[in-house]
Amino acid sequence: MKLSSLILLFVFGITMIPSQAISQTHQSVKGRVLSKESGKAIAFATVVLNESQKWSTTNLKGEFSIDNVRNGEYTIIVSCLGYKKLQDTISLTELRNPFTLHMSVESQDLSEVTVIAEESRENGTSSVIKKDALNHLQPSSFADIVELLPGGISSNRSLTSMNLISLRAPVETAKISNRDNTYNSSLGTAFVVDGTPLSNDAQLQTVSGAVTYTGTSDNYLVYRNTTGKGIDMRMIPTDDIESVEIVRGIPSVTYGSLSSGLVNIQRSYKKKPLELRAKANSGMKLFALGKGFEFGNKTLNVNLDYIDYKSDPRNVMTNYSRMTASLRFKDVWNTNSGMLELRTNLNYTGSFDESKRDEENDTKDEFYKNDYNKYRLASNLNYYFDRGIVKNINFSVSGSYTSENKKIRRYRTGRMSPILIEKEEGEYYGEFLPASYLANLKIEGKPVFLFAKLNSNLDFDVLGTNHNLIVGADWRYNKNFGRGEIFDVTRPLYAGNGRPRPAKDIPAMEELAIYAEDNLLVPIGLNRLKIRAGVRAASLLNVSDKYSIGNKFFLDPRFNLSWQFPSFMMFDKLSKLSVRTGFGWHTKFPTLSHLYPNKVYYDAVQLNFYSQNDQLRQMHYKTKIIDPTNFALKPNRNQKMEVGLEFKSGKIKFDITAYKEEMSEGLRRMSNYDLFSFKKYIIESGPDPSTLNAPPTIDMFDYKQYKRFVSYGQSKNGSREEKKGIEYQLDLGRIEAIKSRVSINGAWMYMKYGSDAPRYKTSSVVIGGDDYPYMGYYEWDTSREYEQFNTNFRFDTQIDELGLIFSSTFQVLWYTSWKYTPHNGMPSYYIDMNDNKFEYTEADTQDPILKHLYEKPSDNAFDTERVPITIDYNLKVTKLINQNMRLAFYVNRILYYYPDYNRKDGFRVKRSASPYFGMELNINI
Amino acid sequence: MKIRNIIIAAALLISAASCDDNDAINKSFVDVKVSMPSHLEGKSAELENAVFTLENVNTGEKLVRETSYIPQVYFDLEDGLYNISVEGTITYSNLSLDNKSIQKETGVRAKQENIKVIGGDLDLNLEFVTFNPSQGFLISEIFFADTRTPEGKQYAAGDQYIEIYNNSDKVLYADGLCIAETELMSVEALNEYTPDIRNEAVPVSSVYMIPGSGNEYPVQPGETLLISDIAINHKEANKNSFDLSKSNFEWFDGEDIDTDVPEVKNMIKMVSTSKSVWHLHSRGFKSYILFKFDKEVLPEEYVKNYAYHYEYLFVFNDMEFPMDFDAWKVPNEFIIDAVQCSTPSEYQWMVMSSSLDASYTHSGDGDASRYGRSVKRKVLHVEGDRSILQDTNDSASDFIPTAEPSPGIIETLN
Repeated sequence: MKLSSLILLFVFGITMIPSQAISQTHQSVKGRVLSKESGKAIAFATVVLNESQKWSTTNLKGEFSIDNVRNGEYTIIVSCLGYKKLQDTISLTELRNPFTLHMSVESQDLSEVTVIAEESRENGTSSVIKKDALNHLQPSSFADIVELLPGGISSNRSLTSMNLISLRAPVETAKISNRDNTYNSSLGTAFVVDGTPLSNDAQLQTVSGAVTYTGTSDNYLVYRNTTGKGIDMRMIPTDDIESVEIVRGIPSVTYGSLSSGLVNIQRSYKKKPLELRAKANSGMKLFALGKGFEFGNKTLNVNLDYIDYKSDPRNVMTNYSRMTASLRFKDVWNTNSGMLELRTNLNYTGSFDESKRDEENDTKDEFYKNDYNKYRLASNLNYYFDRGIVKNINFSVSGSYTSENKKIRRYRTGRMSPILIEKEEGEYYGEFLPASYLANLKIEGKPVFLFAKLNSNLDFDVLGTNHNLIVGADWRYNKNFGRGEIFDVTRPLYAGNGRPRPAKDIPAMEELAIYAEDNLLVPIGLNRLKIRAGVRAASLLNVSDKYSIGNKFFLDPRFNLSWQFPSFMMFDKLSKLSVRTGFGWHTKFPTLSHLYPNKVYYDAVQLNFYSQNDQLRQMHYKTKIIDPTNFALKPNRNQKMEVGLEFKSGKIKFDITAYKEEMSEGLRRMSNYDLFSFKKYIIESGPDPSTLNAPPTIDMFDYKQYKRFVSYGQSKNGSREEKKGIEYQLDLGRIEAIKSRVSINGAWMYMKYGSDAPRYKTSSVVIGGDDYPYMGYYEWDTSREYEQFNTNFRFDTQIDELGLIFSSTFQVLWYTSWKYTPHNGMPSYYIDMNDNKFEYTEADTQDPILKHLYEKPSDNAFDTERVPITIDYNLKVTKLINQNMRLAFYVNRILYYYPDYNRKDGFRVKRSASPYFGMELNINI
Repeated sequence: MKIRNIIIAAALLISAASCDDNDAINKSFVDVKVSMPSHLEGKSAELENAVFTLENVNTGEKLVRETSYIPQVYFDLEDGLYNISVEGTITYSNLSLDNKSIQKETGVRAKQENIKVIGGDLDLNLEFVTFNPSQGFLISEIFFADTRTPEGKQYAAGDQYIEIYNNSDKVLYADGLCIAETELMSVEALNEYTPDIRNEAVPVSSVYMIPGSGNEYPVQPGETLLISDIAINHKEANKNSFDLSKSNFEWFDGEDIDTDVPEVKNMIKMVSTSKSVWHLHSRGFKSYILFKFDKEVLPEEYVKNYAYHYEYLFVFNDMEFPMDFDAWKVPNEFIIDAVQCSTPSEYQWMVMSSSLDASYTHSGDGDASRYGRSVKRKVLHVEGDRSILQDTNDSASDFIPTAEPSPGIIETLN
């Protein structure tokens, strides 16, 4: 906290830089922005005087006014969604007449199309992907877009499992099948759509008793359970997107509830022709349709899309389908002092997972179904003031309601095992499960997310320095109103589970944040120093006093600084060079599933008397309850640092960023143990069943007292995650000689993932019918280090005469590697049933009993596993059939190079890849 | 050997021929042909020695003659009603699945009663049947394959069983008998498996022992001992299953996870690598042994003194991982009977010494055809009301694969 206070001091120190030159010659810059094609006024265009950091927005008549501008040379930049960015140099020497600026509609002209993600530094290190690039990419879901980022690698995505985002993470770390995966990267990436965020923090669809890691027969559950893992990108349609900004660096403090990154989606609110899109590849069909209507100042946009996916086209047993609809409305009113803009959107997302198993053992009665229906309403009210310090005030509200129903039906072998249902600690008589039965489970989730935000932009000069101050506050509310797991507790899906907890019993989570950020520009000679410094204070409300996390503010100071050198000429081209650095803290609070875990019930069956005479059967058990709630849980806090350099010369742009991120206390499920003492009633000591005429009672038996270790999982801040890397992008622009736009991007990434927090583990060995008598306490670091280095070479070749675009991408993955932190495999000490601790020594690894606590690492367990180069060549050909129709055909991995290699242990690895085809049709009417 | 036999036979013949022929009693020339047991066909069976006993039922006179000349032996007998029997030892070799030739010895006998020897020549054909002179307990049936419910679901609710049989003519005590499941699977040959102890011991993953001080659990000759998972009448829950309520013992894995039937005694759980209920490998990938320690061994002692640590290299497609596991072992000399199980299409290697079992048996091919089927030892012959089961340490020939289960019942004829 000390560091953040220092930064705050520094920020305000800079703000207060004294400057005498307050009264130079100032004037207002006024003008109008019109459409070049129609001559109509363009409203909501942003007009920036680059060197002064002053800006304004045009009103309905297309008018703008920027007051109090000092005389001098300025670059005026006008931007508006759907229009080409306009850039001009103006000179303010004397009083000027209002400017008239003409913007042209963003063209469908092939040669102008930008089909790559452009690096942007407006909101921290980010990539911006615009409609043109999206039109060209033709994504099926949002996951395809993420591949355009530096370090992104395209892959065939299965839509029958969740698609989670992981920024700045080597591919290997982010796999669902990677058991080290803590999902802190995906949980910590915020998704914001039209100014209001999405949330998955009230997701509680976990099936109790199911195995939580992959590689088991419960994969069908594990691969689809996003509880505590963030947003599933399969749910985000792409056809209504106008532009996406994916912030990998340090975003503005206006964005919160994130630790890793930000995805900021802007959808279109404007007149648009009827657009139809159809896409098909193996297993998947996508249909999308959209149109934008205009009625005076009002616009109404409609988008619908539908995806049908079968993981294996020959197997109809497993499939996924998604349907989305969005209705977006915009209206504007001019008032005496400014302009009011209202944007409202209503959205629906439905997704349907279904699988039936087709194995010999399964009958047609068994199924898995997951229905997801989400309704989201968001409104954004923005008032722009014509003059004054306050430039605008923005108020956003959104609410979403999701109805999720997971239904599972499976045959189960009950094996006459005990039914354990009591919810209080104590000793009880109970009954037995039947030998086999049909189990039904329904999980009803009704997550509700509410969001409100008040934001204001202020623009003023203090002592000659222009400040653009943003202040605001936002509030989030997450609650699940579902009934949770609903099933007959005497016929559970997993034996031993008989204590469901309704999701609605879990309190709501509320998060309040306030923030302030100053954007200022300090000219130092001909150099320009741009500073963006802000702090966000977030607090978790509505948690009981027992939680140390509650009712205190966590401060996220974030700081971006850039130094732009004076422009210069290089090879007759105007060139610009700037360097930048940034530092920031980012906080993501734990979700409902982390804060309010279900109680852990431990049962010991004390009498198991399953007589052959069903009238005499008796069972008696003892229940112990452990509350795994971790009241000391802290939020995920990620510290980012980066330095970068940007160079532009004519059309050529080069950008390189080096970053370091450190999350020292990330969320992780950790083991804990307890001791449980109970009795075992000795059957032989009791009555002969043939002498009974009613079930026996426990007093008829002698007993022996026993103890047992019980271990349970608990959410703790035990994960240490470190990311380092270098991201680069070189955009050579269009090279006329080869009629191609050439761009190169990639990244070297390093990630260390793991835990040095202590763990408890016992052995599953059973000796003479008794449980293993010791619990091991392990302290070695389980971290694994990953590295990945890639370069994507992209050529977009346009042959206007034929109406063809060839997009060629060479994806070169130079290498990937990983390595475990060395350890000796021994516990530090072990604990006996009386809770005594003993040191574990080298000699114990040979002891017949204690050796079972030794996790001997194999000889090459700590070698660096290095996978050498692979090259994929992906080709996409787009044909413009006419002005309104486009047809594209693509083959990923049409050519590939996957050389065999020798591993360190001398083993030869053979690799192979398979091509992947698809087709798309776009029609605009 | 053969030449010696011929000389002895010739000597015998000469001595027979030199008998005084002046008696009034009529004699017949009896030519006894004895053929090798049909189940040892192709196993180079050879007679080591044989004792012929020809008992004159009328006079009670016995002619006992030792010979190893087979297949034909000639006798000059007084006419009368005879019981003729022959007992002997033969050697044969099992060709194991790993192409080793294992020399085996077994007792054989053949018998025919009330043969009229009268007037001249008589040709008599006998077939040897094997019996093991050191007979004792045998595993007579293993039901590992699980049953299916009428809905077609795997039942797996404790109806697996192992049947042990007293193949001798004496009362035997089951006290201290142990059954164990092998650690290794016949369908997964391990790469660089070390230390390979299979010539001295069998690596095992779970061991259960019948309680008793030595003479508490007698088993009569020709009687079975039924050991099941849950000793109830499973037909009540699944009509495709069996009535196991008459089981002699249950294996029991704990009150929390298993079901304890109070009417039936539990075995002592010696050790297990797994915390869960012992479910015999349903597809038959694991094998089973019956053994007895040379002295009393407590579970804690077994864990310490018979620990076995092994390593191998796991290879899957392109990947290779060194693996190591802890299990236990049972010395070969303790083993009374061993039955290797596998599936014909997935068999890869022998999980024990071929001297214990030269081959394997199976239920179906480990696929759906296995359900409701057991592996069951063949009945060699019947002595009175007692069946003698075949035991040549060659499960492929000793067992009926994919058999109709009959817990606790030994057929008198196959």
